[in-house]
Amino acid sequence: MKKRNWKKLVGTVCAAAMAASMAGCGNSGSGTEQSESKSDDGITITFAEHVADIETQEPHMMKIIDAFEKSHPGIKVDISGKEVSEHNTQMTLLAGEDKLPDIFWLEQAPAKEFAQNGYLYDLTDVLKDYGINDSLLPGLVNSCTVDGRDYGMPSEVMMVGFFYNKDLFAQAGIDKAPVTYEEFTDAVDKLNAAGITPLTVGAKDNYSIWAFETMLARYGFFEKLDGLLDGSISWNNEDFIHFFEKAEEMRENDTFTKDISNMGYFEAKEQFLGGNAAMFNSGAWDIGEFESSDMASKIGFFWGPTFSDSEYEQEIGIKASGGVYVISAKAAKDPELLDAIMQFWQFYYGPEGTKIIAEDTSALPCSTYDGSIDQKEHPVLGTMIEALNDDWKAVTEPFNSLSSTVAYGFFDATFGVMNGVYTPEEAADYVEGLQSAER
Amino acid sequence: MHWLSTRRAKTVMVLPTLIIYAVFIIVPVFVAIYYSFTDYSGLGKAEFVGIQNYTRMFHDALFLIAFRNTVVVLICSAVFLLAGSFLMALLMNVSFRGNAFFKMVVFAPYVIAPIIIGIIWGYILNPNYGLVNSVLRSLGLDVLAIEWIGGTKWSPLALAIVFTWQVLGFHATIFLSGIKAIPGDIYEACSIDGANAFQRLFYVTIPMLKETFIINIVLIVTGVFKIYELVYQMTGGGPAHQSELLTSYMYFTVFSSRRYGYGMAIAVAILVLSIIGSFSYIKITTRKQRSEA
Repeated sequence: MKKRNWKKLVGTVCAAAMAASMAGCGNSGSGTEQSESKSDDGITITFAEHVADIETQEPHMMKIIDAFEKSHPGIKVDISGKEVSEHNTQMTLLAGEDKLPDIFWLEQAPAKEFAQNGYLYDLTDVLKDYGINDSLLPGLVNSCTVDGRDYGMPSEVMMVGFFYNKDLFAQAGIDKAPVTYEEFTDAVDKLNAAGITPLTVGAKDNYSIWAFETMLARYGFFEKLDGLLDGSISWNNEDFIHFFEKAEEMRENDTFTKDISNMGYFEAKEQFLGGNAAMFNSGAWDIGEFESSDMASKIGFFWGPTFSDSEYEQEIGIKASGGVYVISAKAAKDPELLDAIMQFWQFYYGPEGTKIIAEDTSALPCSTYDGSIDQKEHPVLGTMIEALNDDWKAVTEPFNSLSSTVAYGFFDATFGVMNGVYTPEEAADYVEGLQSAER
Repeated sequence: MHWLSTRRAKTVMVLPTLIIYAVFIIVPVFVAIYYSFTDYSGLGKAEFVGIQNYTRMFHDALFLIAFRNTVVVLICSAVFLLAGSFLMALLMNVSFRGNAFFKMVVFAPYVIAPIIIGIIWGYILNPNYGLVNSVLRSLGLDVLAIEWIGGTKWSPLALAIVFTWQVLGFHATIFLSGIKAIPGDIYEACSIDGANAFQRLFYVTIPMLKETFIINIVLIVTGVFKIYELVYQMTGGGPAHQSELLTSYMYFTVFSSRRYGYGMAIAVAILVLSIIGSFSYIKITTRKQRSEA
């Protein structure tokens, strides 16, 4: 009898524990969502960004949210941010737990994976209904598509290349930004001779590869892409070997800062802004920070060197959508929440948001902007707009056409050559190994 | 009188902890084992791929580098830590003015978050402007001003040094508690028999601390297999993954490279290696003790 009572007790405890855990599961479902997104004060949109310090790194977003909340009293945007790699990790984990925020930033390759697995809302119709496609710059419409359907809105105009310090160039006797690889090498030699560090790159953060992606595109990446994916072309091909050889030559020519492997992206930027390196590998997202620095008027921009040993198009630059903003499929199930979200994006890409981006924070807007930029007041922005409107062909980031595994493999391989860890052949074989595992 | 030491009472008291332990420790281990046999990418469906992820490790140059680095860190840490923490414990056992403050200073690094330790030591060991190389250069010892971090050779040693600095106080405290547990009359008897300090150390203290040594070795092995933050902050695993340890490489594989299934296989390998490492040491020392007895 005693034994039976004991069994009953254990059974009751177990049942209670299971019931509690199941109740916990239930709470993370729709009931909680409702209470999180809607309250007496109105609707709250949860928004996850890919920068740790939103106020400093994306000031336009904070200003737009403030302006939006003032003009839409019933809607609040609860934004939070984490450094990009942490953000990517967190989004993957939250997807697994079905707890994604209502709207969030993603790189394009993962965005497509998220979409294919049903985590994202199909934006095709709402982008038209809310007039967002009409506002966007023509090259930024359909920024992230899967099977012809839109799943992302552009977060920025992705323009990457080399920023340079005009004063340091002049000090080294360089009168204009280099265009060809030979001119680039010549500039590096002159800078080294003048005791100036030529190029700073944040190699410790392997995502900061940017300008080297353009160089890969100049060795026929997009022309070879289908072959790379189906296996008819290997990463260890003559053109890509030439690309890696250029990275190796740059290392041998002392192009990079000495401490490249201990230098993260932010340290590299600090080195450049401190006048301690002549060139910096980065992109349009840094315009605002450059504008607010003492050396704004001294900063120039070029797309990176062109190569005479490649038969592919050389006058190209990455001028496309970078990462994308997406809406979680779960959030879109609530029509009121979806409407609030789309009102926010309508505001963001509309005239009010675009004006804030262009005039208040010196960033490149993704939408058409009718105002004018005072080039004297915003010299870096003016330089970038000039580059954006030049006649070099616009291409997208190669990164966006690859899976995360292969893309990060390519980053590691390139930095491996720049650090002297890999030979060009080893680097190409490394990426090929990752690519072939996916075929 | 109602006794709480009955089998049933003990079981009831242990049960909540057991349930929590099972849910948060045991179940995830089995989940990881399950995913290690799949090609799961973190999203979508997981396809069964058999032992492919395990065989891949033997052909993955970066895994082998991470494994080699982990072994180097393990050996260096074991040597530095066992010797260092034991000597530190002997010092802490001596009565002197400021002993309590000394103990606090020795233990302090253990309570600092590893990520902060990584930041501090990243600056100290930076080959170009770091404190260590600056001091060495100012002393004319340029030969010793090596590329502690960021290169392909010395990062594992640098990680072992920093790990040792971080946990030295903890291991010294374990040794100290072991030393304190040795009955004073044994030392008294030795002294009467004419044993000097070294003889007391080698014939009494060390033999009587065998269990403590085992505990420390097991903790060092499991500790090394858990080092992640130091790698993340000091070297980022670079250049080109040359300074990865198994745990940091597992993290990269899962979250950056998005090969969740393969990453779980590495996690299982880490678990197995740490179990083998710990148990084989315990087994060897226990067998030795038995044969000596």
